[in-house]
Amino acid sequence: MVPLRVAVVAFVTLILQVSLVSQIEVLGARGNIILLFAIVAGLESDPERGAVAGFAAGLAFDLFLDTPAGLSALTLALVGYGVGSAKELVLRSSWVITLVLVASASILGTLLYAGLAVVVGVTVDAGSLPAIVGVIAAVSALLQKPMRWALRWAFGRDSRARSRDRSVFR
Amino acid sequence: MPKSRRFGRSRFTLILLILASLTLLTLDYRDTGPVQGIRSAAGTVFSPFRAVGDTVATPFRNGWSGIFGYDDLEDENDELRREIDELKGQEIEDAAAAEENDELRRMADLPVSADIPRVTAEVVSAPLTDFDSTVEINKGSGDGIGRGMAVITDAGLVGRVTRVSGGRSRIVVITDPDFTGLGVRLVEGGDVGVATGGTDGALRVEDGIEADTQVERGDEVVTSGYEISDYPGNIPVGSVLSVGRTTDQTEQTLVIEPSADLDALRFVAVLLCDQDCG
Repeated sequence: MVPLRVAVVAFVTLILQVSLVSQIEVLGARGNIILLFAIVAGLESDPERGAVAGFAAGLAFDLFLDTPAGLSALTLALVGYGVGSAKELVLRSSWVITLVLVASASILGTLLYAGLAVVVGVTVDAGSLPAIVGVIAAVSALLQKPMRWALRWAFGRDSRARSRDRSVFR
Repeated sequence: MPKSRRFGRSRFTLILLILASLTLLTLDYRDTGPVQGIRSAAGTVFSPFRAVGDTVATPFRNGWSGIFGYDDLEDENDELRREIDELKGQEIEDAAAAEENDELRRMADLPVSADIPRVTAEVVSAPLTDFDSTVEINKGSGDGIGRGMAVITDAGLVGRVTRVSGGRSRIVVITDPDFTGLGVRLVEGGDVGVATGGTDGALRVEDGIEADTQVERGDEVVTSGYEISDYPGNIPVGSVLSVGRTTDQTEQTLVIEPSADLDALRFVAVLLCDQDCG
């Protein structure tokens, strides 16, 4: 049941990204809730499931982009794994730390995507990167709460048990 | 499960996912394997869900544009009023010029692009990410559209079809930084060069324009229409913004402003032919 629920959340996220978030420009940039999905998947589960969820969502998104297939999948697998590891190694639960973690992961994830894009031959306008990174981090921070609710439902009891643990550091 | 074993397993999974991604990247980079087919199929399967999503999202998109685009709309309105006043004055002059133009066309027996079959489509989606500059139109393979076909507006060349599914296609615009291979010709001098996109919304011609050719700001540039070109000839591409020199001073470089307003595309026409339309 868990994979099915996660797939449902990923599918709805993909539709929202394509139909709404991608169509709204702020400061010449667009939010990326597929990246947010991977971040929160890592946050609400573990590194392995974060990586798999990020890979699957990224792969689905890749099918709609003109950038090389596999680029989003690779980036989001690394992001999901990284966030899951960071959470397991350092912190458990605190809304401020979660917010900072989501924003930081959005920034690093976007820069990682841009870096990998350059490596595979996509031209990236470095001048517009600060606006892109800023908008994506802001949108992720703004929407992290509903995404966490959705993925807590998707991952079920494990996720809820983890979220009740209030200690910040191991 | 012990923590070390769990980490070992998760690392193993991550390595598998990285390898899978790299395999996909390689296949797509070489344009081999099933990637294009899967993309096309995914576009077709996803299309009904996308339509529902678009219907639900449209009020939110319009609301956003209404709130944050009001000043722009006011400015645009003022600009349009000024243009209408100017156009009224030009109307009579234009009618005479059009008649003269028609006469010249008949006399010179110029190739008429109206003979080329085309399909009109509406632009329904902006680029999906900040690293992707393709736009989507609401016509696809069912309407005869194929990969590589030229896309134009009444103002000039827009780009080419890069991906097609049953009911939708994606268009890469000529100013995309990775857009290559656009053969262009100076209307005045007749020199032919190859234009590429940039990151500033303009096109660049880095070779092919002789050093002694007279080029001025505002000179018109059209598609070359050569046999090896992917586009029919004489489609307006843009006008020269600035002229420079190559580092070895043997040729001129051009920066071209596109004729078509690529930031405000609404309706476009896809020319239903490949290299054979010239």
